[in-house]
Amino acid sequence: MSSTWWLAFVMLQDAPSVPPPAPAPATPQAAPQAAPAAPDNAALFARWEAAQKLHLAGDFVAARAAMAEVLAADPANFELAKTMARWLAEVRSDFVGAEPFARRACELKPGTLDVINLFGSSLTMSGKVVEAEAVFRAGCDRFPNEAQLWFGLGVARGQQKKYLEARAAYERSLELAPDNGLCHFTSGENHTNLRDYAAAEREFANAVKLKGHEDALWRLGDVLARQGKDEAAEKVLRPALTQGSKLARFQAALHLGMFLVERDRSAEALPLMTQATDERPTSREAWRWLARAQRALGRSEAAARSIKKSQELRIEEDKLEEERLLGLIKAQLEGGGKQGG
Amino acid sequence: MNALCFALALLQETTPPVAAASPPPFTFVDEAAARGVTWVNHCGDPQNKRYLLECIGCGCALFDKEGDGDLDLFLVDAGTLAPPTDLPPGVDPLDVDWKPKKDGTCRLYENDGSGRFTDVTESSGAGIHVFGQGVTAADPDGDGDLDLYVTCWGPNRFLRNDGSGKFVDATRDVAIGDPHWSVGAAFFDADGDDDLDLYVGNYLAMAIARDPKCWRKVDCPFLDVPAACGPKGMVPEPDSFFRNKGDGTFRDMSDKAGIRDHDPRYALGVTAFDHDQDGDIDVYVGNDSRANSLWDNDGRGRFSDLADLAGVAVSRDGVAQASMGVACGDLDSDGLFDLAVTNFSHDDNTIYRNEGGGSFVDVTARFPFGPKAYLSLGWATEFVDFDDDGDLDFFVANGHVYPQADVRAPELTYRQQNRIYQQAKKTLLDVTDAAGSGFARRASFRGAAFGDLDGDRDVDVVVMAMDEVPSVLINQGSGKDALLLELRQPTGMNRFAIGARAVAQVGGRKLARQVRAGGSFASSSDLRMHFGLGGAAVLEKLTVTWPDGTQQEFVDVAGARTLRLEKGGTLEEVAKR
Repeated sequence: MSSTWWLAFVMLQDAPSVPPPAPAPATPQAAPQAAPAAPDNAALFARWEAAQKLHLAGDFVAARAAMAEVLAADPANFELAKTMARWLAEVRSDFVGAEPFARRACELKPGTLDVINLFGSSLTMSGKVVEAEAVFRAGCDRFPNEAQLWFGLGVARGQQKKYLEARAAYERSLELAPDNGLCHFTSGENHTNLRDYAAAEREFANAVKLKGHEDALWRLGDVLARQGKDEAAEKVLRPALTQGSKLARFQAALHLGMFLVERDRSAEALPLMTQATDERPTSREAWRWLARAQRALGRSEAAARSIKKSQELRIEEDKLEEERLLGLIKAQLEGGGKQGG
Repeated sequence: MNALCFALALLQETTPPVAAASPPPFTFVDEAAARGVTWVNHCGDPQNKRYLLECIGCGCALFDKEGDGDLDLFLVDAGTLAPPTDLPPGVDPLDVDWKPKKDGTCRLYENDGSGRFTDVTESSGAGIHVFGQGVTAADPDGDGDLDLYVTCWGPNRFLRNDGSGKFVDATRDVAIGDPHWSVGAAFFDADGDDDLDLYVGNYLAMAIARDPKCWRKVDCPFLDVPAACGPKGMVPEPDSFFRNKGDGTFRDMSDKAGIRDHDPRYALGVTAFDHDQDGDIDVYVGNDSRANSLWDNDGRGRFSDLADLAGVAVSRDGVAQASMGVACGDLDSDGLFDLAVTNFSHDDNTIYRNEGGGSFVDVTARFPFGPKAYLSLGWATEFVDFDDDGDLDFFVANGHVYPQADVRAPELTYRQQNRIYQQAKKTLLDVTDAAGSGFARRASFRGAAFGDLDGDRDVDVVVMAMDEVPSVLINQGSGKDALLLELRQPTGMNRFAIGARAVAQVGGRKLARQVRAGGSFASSSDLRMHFGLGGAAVLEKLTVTWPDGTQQEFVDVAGARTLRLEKGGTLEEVAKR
């Protein structure tokens, strides 16, 4: 999944025992949320408010530390731990910050459905997907009829590329909650990962019908195109050009352009790809497909310029990836190397 | 249900119903031992592959070493690595530069004509001790026999054939001992001067211990499992191009040929073919974790990379795949050569359809490859007409690079099944599970070569298996519907007509084939062209285009034979020996 923060956010929204979260504050000046089960101690409550303010001001590290101190003062307070986790995850989308508080809440009351969901989601969003899978798995064992837990399990497995097992989890979730459009969408992505395009088509179509995700329409068009269902693909991709966010519309334009270039209709693709590169000049794929359209139309020099741009962007991405890997290796070496022979 | 049963059940669900419902008309039996091939490949530590060097594996060649009409078998070996024996006291062996022990020996097996092999390594001179990777059989010195070019970690080797199947190491004489870590290589006439030039795909600089990224002390995560590092983060090495001086010796023209105009890219698979039908031979390179390269030839041996513009650099999604092997053939029988690239696990093996005019489209999703292919890690590959019905089928050798992959078993395993896809009704159906016991074996397979081993004209396969005995997959078909065509140029330096094309018109269909030296993964296949006739007794027309562009046409050619054509001559049947 390209961007997943929203997923856990929506998962939390849909969790049966969690009330709808307050909208995320648009500015750092937004008021801190009162803790419904804050400790009685007024001083402690004031420290909780101060920690929230720190977070709203953007000092996440200090805020998390301050919240940890608040909880340390009353470590057995389940409601406090849960409130902090919810505020960080739902209101602030700070899943890394939420995770230790969700973990504590889970330790205090291990069998609480909404806390299991909160903890598992926080782990998934923090990249701790192996543990997230274990948490959701245990949750599914305890609450086998809770669709959200199966959904969370599917996401945690999918993040580990365990697509076959993720498929089983999504299927169970959709059995329990067939109208969860987001789950249909994510299941469609999972089928795409497994190269089962017919199943992906069904799931994306369901997601479109249920308004499960703004990308569902162009994703549906794309899997139709991949299967050679040209007429249906075009029928879907054209309206997708004007629906959803700017990013969703860009993706629709890119994929319709790809569809047209591949079908020797580069003249129609050219304005779409030109628009795509104008809108997102850092998209190497938009430049690459623009170049292919230009080449097909005999505009060799323009094609060469466009492909050069695409290649430059790819080299930049490669360098970033390499730096990330070298960072990991360096950390190992500085940490004394791996253990064992 | 425990986890193992659960995952097995999941995998069972993915078996394509087609394979179960309609058994294919071809089956394969692994007859390695019965046919005398018992040698075990070595490529580093079989259990604990800590260096990428131990993970890449080896290729093989099917070639006629002494011109007796059957295919002999050359198997590349790598051997193992070890720390120096004279370590000072207190020095951790993990902190020092490990070296190849030179305990591996490449093997040569002689075919008796029926597909039974005898190990002639010792008497042939072909048993070189190198950290070998791949091999290409060709005749760059133009003396009418097939020599061997062995790619290695370290200088590559050229084994000159004296015509009787005896070899001497003539690397220094011919000056193609590329010092890089080389894997794929292809011989072809790049500049139209009738001799064979050489493209070598080079991988990366594995300067063990000098490069902290390769240290034995370092693990890199693979699906959260510690594994050998690379190739990302390591220094890719530039490919090489050697121009034949016309006498079988070479000049390194890498810097002048244009192939070093872009950044080096961890090359593995290499094949040479005419991608844009302009009459010269271009080079396609499968690169690991980087965009693939399509070196467009200007006809004079000067290249420019058109992979991005042609649509064969990355997948349809724009992903630079971890490419291993390359296949080239006219999959859709339109006269144009299509491409396939095998890739890492959790990725497709990509099929690029040639649209003409130098443009390709990624059509992978049109084929129902499904999860099994997606979860496999592909290496050797080729488009081959295994069932002699005229259209090309598709083979992929599989095996993971990391033994640690087994922690994800059974979804992901180190040892994997090779897969075979039968072309029917314009698609490729996975018929692996019904293709006989030969495809049931699980190993970490690598290179593969294709050709008729037992003289029945259908195509058999030899597949290298990491640290194990190769598979010798004997096609159980009869070959009665196949024609083999052997081309020779009686004069000049390209005696085996590398680069020549032939188009057979059979039953209204046009079947295009090409003579290629090098491809698949680090391997070299039978130079004879194979045409499945699909029951037709006669080829309506056979058109041969020689490397210099001259053509010969034959009409009403009786099929189901092995034919030999010398340039300018007539088709002659080769008697079975």
